[in-house]
Amino acid sequence: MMYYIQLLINGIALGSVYSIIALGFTLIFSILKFSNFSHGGVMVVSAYFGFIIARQFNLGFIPMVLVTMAFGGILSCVAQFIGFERLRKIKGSTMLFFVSSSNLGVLLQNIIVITFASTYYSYPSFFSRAFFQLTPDLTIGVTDVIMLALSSIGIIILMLVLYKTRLGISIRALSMDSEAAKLMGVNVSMVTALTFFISGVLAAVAGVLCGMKYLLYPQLKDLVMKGMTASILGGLGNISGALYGGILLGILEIFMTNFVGSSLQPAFTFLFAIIFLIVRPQGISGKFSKEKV
Amino acid sequence: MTYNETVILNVMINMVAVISMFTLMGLTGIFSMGQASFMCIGAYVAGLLATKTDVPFLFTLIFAVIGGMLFAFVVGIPIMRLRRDYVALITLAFGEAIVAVLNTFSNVTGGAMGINRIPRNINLWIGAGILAIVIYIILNFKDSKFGRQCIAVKNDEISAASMGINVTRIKMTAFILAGGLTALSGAMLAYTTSYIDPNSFGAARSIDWIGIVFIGGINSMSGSIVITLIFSVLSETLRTTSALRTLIQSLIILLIINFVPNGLFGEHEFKDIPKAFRKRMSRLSANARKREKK
Repeated sequence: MMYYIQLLINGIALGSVYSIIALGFTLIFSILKFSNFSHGGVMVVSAYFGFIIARQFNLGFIPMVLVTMAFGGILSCVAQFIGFERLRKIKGSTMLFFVSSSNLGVLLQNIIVITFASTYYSYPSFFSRAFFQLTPDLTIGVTDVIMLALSSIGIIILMLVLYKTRLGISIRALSMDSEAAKLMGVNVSMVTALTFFISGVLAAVAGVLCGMKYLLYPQLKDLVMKGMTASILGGLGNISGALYGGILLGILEIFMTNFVGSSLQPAFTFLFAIIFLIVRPQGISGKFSKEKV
Repeated sequence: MTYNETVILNVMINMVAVISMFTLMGLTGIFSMGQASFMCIGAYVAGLLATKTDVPFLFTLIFAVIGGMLFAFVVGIPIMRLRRDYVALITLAFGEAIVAVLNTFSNVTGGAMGINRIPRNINLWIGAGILAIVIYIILNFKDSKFGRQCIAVKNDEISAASMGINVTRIKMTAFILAGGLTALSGAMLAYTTSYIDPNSFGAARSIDWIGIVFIGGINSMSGSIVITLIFSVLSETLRTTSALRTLIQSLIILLIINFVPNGLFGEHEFKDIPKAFRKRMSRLSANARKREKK
């Protein structure tokens, strides 16, 4: 019994990182209606950036995360400006956004490959102990606690911004109908840029957490796929859905790894996603982002 | 097989794969990030049949195509009735699942070591023949009833559906066709390199093809073919630094997205050249006649 609770704890900790990835991804999806594959690129570059500043300036954990968050936000804004600003102005088809974003992701990843080669790095250890002993049978890793804490703080702040501020109202208005929002006096360019900034901040947090949990290598970008699967499970384009989807995926992966082994786990996760889509295509939260004529 | 022959065959393989990506992206507007996993399936079907059984060469190709189509059908069922974004995400996950399965059942597939010593049954003429057949099929597909329905679906799913087109079925047809073609290119790859392993069919390869189709112009197959040729030459010259090549390619795509979003070839195809030429000639002669009358 304790063993399963232990698995559950690990699953939720892993899932909270997936949720953060999924949130940043969903935020962009909800306003521009396309899957932002460059999210993974921003994640990788931020993770390496955090690693460099932590090593060069001997920063503690919290200042490092804060600086990296700012960096991720700015990077995401720059990427937005290069890749999507013009497309948005000429109202390009979704296909162009797809190509642009997947290309940006590859570009960012390759910048890392060229500067750092494909070697593995690991973050300096910020903490003196590796895990907490809850009861004789239950342990929880310090990284996991930090993952949970940071993810929860990030999600709470995001929800506050989205539902309590003027910016949040503009973002939600934009996600419903960009033309109408524009007519109501929302500065669309500004709000889009800010949304990309928030999404970049979330990507930076996710990047640092993944870099601490795993190792630092350019293929960290592929973790964005977990975020995407999470947002599919939760219902594409639905912000609270992304949250549930991430946790569900985390728990699922930990249990799958335990029962079928880590080598077959991606195959079973894929099967689960396919069956889930057949049974409930609208996701957990049950709201489709509708296609409008 | 000489080095030059291998290089040319690789260009042909890339062309078949890019053409299959063109049927998805260019004709139907489906965006598959895991298309390379169908190449993996084709390569493994051909490789396993060639090393473990004595099925004739031609039949292994056919089985590879059938394998690719079957998998495309299974993957396509849940996602083709949903938004296009699901296709990109689910095919990506499918790619990972395939790699996981191939790595796990190592007694059949050789695991991460892959399959060695596949006979090099292919030569330039067979490659050129396959490529010609594929180009012929897709050009005709583009002009057929199915192809035109595909283009209608690409431009606007809702209006296509209101015209009585069965959108799900059309998308499914294109997806299965492309899955078969990509598997064919995979089988060719297995016979050319004589060695395959599961880890060389990641998303990076699919994104590469997407970029090539896009640079050439989403609506033009000639564009895809020409750009494949150019980039294959580029990647041969920059072979030691593949990251640099990817970097150059991404920068070119960014420029094109911002300044020529229709791609270099726009809507034009090579086979339109004689028609356009004749049109121009007749206009010129008409002008000349007018001038004579004056």
